Amino acid sequence: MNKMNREYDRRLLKFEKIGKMKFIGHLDLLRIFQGAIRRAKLPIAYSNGFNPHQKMVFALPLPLGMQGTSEYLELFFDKSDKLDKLDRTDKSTKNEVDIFALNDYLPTGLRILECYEISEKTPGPAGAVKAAEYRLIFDGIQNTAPYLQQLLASPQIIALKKTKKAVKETDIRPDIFALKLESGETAIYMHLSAGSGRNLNPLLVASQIFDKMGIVMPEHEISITRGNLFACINENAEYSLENSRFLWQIKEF
Amino acid sequence: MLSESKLLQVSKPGRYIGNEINIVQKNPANVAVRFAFCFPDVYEIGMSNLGLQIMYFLLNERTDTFCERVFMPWTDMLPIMQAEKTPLWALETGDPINNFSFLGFTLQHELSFTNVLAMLDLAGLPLHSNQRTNDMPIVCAGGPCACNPEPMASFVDFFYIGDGEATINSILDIYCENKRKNGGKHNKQDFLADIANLSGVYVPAFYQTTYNNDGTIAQFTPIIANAPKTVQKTLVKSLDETFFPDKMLVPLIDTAHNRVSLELFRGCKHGCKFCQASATQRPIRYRKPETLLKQAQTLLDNTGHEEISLVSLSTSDYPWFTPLLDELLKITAARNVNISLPSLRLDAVSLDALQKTQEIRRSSLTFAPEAGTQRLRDVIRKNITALDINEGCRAAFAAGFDRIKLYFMTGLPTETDKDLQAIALLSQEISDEYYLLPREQRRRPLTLNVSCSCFVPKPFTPFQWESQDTAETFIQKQKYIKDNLKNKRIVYRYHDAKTAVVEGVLSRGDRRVAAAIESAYKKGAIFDSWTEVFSYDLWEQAFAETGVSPEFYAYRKRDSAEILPWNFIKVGDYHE
Repeated sequence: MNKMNREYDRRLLKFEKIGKMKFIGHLDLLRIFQGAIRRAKLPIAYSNGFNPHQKMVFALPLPLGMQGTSEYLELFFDKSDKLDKLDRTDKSTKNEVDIFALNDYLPTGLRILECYEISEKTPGPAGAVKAAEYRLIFDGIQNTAPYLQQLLASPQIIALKKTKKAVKETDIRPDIFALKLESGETAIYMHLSAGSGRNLNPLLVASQIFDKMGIVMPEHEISITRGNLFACINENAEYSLENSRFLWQIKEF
Repeated sequence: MLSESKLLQVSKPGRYIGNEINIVQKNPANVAVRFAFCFPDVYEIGMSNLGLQIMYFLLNERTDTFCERVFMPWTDMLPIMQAEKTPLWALETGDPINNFSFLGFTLQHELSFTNVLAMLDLAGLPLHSNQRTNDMPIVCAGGPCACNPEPMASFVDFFYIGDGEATINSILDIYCENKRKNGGKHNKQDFLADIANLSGVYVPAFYQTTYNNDGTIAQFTPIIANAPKTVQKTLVKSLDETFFPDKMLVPLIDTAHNRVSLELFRGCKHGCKFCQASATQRPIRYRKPETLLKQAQTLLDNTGHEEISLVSLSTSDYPWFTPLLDELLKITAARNVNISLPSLRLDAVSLDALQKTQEIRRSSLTFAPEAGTQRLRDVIRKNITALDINEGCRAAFAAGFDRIKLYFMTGLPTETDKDLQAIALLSQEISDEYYLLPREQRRRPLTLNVSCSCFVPKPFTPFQWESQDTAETFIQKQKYIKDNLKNKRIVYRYHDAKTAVVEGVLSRGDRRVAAAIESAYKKGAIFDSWTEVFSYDLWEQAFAETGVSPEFYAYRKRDSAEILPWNFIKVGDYHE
């Protein structure tokens, strides 16, 4: 086999990062998966070169402090017929290499939920992410409803967005696709731009709400859970709720 | 433990959550002994300690015992714990530790002593042994600094001197029996009396010290029959037969050394006169290569670590070093695992090993001549010549090393300006040696780090009677070396001279030094080994208030007839 032009079996894993694991940052998460894959002896592909590392890509890093219920990780395996070929929804086949065995080696709070086969030609999940859902919980949430309406009615919302170099005034309204109270007014649901292109931090939206309410809410008092990640149906069109699909459907691209 | 929102207010909250790979969980209701292994430094340092890993799994082997871990919370956590009135908790259960059976501290270095007091305080326990009742945990302490336990004697119920694996099970058996006899609650006094004559156990409350008018010790005597006149350190005779865990805790956050540690041997065949480790770890005991290779495989399987480190005082002294390494390389190559060799001498065997493990590309070569002149190296019995150094460096450079760290000590006995000049000369010679290489063999300019520490005489070493330099002298010497180092490319670092004063007082202190430790702690001294936290002012005030003087404890040369505070402990007498 030509080592420079390897072919891989690719798997997209959907996992949750909940409970105590929200205190673990992205780089540490990467190391935790690497260790678990080694302990589980999954035949993952290693990169070439002097310091070989496992070939894996996370769709979108989850900030420390947030929980995630639909996080994604792509793993690369050297082509082999030993690998679990099917989504685990089909329980009738059992292959020699079972990716779900990884769950026995992950710490409490990290769990593989789904495994999708993705074809060689599919672009990676990292570039595909366009939006994410968030659920925020904090004290006094039931009083926020009118302010959410106000925000949604605004043609533009100017917020101070921190970039690496400076703080910039930015219109964040185009990055808000949905904003509502849900679950019997116990959580705020947000559907926001996310990914390597446009990205909106839910805390920035929350701070707009608190400003309108005239209250001060320290960030650590807000519990945030990231839900589904979304890609576009039509890559050439702007992202919108109508043009969205779940990230795992990327395999059908 | 603290609520989640509070944990989000501190740096690195992953330090406080437990949940690691290979963590042990038991139902506390089903055990007789709840043991808190207390490491008086931050999580990342403590979790890198091999002793912690061994003791954690050794204690948890017992079905009647649940060992949990406790680390010193970092400074940003302390005000939050105070404000929330949250006592120090153990990582496994999140339970407060003030009703555990034991708190077991490991004393890795003297500058962690104030952290021990801080952790007792955070747990809500009185600092002094005689103020803690039968409802409170029994506090014990072991580790390297337990070999002179006296400065901490007032705070600790019993010390454990020697190898951790050797006597701990006997102690716990006696504890369980004591608890049974007393209807499920321990009687501390009876328990301590029962263990007082076990090998390696020292119960300070059973001894009395009297002093001469000049402040030196007049008499040190046991006051109960069961307390032996001398305390013999406890010893593991065979490392192949003693307990070694088949797994290690794998932290979820990055730590100082996140890797498998293989302990090749204990002890050291070199008798460098300043070295306390070699003086207290006799006799030298080797693990067999078969044992090590088996441990390497099991531990790599069970941890998933990408690095394995061969740890011992001077690794290349291991009699089967090359064959072990060759076999180990077969195991590691198949798993994409790196081997790290942290403690080598600059000899042919080591260079060969470094080439095989490809450490050359990864790391810098660390090398400790300790003194600049051959005369002084002979005095301290550092068994290495200028020729060894130069040839070693030449070979290392030819092999591809271009980053070198040199370690020296200042303030060694008999040291003169000439010895200090020689540190600069030797460093320059090594630099010159590199530039003798043909140009095409030099990938980049040499990185040469020269680091000078302050010599602190330690108990049980041949230098235990010597005087220590004052902070002023150290600072003068550090400057003198700097002035002699003309080469701007050499990076010169030195240790804080005032930290050395505190270390000196605590190293060779007696029972009266406890007052200064307590006073410094109450004034706010914690994390004394962390330069960004350490404050000498607090210690200076504490010394002044308690009459514990650096002149007496650190700078004073002892008479060979003097009764030293640690004389009653026997660590040696093992002739090889």
